[in-house]
Amino acid sequence: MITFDNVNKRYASGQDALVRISLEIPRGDMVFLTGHSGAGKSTLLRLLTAIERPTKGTILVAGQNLNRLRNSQVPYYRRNLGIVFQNHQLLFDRSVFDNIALPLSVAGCNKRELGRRVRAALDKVGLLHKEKQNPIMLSGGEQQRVGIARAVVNKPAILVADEPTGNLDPQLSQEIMRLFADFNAVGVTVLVASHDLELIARMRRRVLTLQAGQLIYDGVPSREANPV
Amino acid sequence: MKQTQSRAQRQASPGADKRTRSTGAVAARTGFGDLWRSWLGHHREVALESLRRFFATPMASTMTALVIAIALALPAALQLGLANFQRAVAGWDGQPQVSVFLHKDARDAAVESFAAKLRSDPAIAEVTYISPEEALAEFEQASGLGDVLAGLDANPLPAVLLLRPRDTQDDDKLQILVANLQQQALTDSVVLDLAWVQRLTQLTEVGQRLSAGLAVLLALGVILVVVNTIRLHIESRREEILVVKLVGGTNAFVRRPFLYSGLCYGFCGGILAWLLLLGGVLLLSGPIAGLSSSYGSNYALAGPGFSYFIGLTAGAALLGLSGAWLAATRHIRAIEPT
Repeated sequence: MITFDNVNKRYASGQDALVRISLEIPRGDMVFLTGHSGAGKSTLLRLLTAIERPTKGTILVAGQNLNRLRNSQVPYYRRNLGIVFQNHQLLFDRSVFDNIALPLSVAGCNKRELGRRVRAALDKVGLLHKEKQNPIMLSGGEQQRVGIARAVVNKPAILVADEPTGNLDPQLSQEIMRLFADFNAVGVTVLVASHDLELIARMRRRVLTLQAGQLIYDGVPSREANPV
Repeated sequence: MKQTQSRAQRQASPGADKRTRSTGAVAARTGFGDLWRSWLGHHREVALESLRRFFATPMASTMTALVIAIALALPAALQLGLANFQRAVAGWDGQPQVSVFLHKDARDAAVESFAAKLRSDPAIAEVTYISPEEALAEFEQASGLGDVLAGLDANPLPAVLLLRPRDTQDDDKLQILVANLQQQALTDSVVLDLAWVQRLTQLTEVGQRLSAGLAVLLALGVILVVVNTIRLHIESRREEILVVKLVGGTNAFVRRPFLYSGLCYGFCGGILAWLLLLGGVLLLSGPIAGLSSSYGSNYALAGPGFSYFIGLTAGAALLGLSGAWLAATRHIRAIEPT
């Protein structure tokens, strides 16, 4: 589903953010991406979401070569991704419902279908009763769940999350992770960047560890032996 | 939009097609009819939204619209003034006329034969004789100074022969005709009315060009005002633009509300400009009606009619749209998620 082949990313400053990264994430996998800040997690996610382009190497997502993606095609590519942000990037000038509906209205979904899908997504994250509220009224965990609902509302094949539990307490983090696992269980390929190693270990999923722009670990850790 | 989508799908490898079938991409689930209806629906929503935003900050919006209105009202007022001026002088014949003022002591018989001689001249199309009495009566009527004239013991006006030259285009021929007439024994003086008509037309032409030049400059000003206003709008909605782009919003989608805002500013500015013109005409029409009635004329100022309303609102809306387009195209492209 996601293939990185010898990907390099060098910024204009001359700093190498990613060095010869090659990895393969099959369809339906749930993978964690970890590493210290500055290790290249965010860069990898930025390449995957076509915010940036690799300096060298090829990235294939669902068979589509991102290097050949024209700027005008980027929006259409992103509609097949669900993206969850650490700071959830919710818009406080509109209701929870309208926040979640954004990817659908952007893609030109009709009103009835839109309402149905937004409520389905809200139901999945357990916030059906809060659709009319302004997200600013919600707790941090609830806001993140709204962010997740927005990411999955157009049923993307791939769900990408950047530090989704960054500001949450362990119990809420656990809930959020369980939510991702649920989506994964119905066939969504999930990639979560996180530095919460304990939480990751508990999930017993494949882990990719980056250090100084290089992939230094790729495997399923046991609960006892924490990598890095 | 649809084209790009199908292109993107064509370029994708077979793997992508399989994914599209299995999990159903948005493009595959949303039919073209749906897309079209949703596109229209989005336009409607965005139009209403930009109206709502316009009236959400009434002071700021009105001030911007007023700047646009004043910039547009200036050339429009000049144009309207010119149109009224042309209407006022429309009674004046554009045809050149030669007035031959005869000596006061010319005998009637001599005048009679002079007129007959001129009538037979092939260069002259028409000869009208105005006796001193007729001239006095006409002057009384046109000037409204009847009472003053009645106080005079003798008619001060001479007899006049009004000639209409046959060839009005050729300046040289007219000059020769005037020179000939000047040498006649009965002639006191000759006045070629052409000069006044020409000056008037040239003056009007100067006014026309002035108003056109002013219109171009101020239209540019309107565009710049809208560009700046929309740029501020875009900056204030930066967050939202970033999120919309991250969830797959195209530049066109992001641009749309700002285009409607520009349209809205222009349209409201156009309406205000028309109201300003109307106010100006109402303010002036009283004194001008009084002035013209004192001259015995029933001339009244023509207000900015329906055509001005359409021209101003449509023109201003177009200017607003262009300004918004310039601002949006430039600044929205620059806002990309990092």
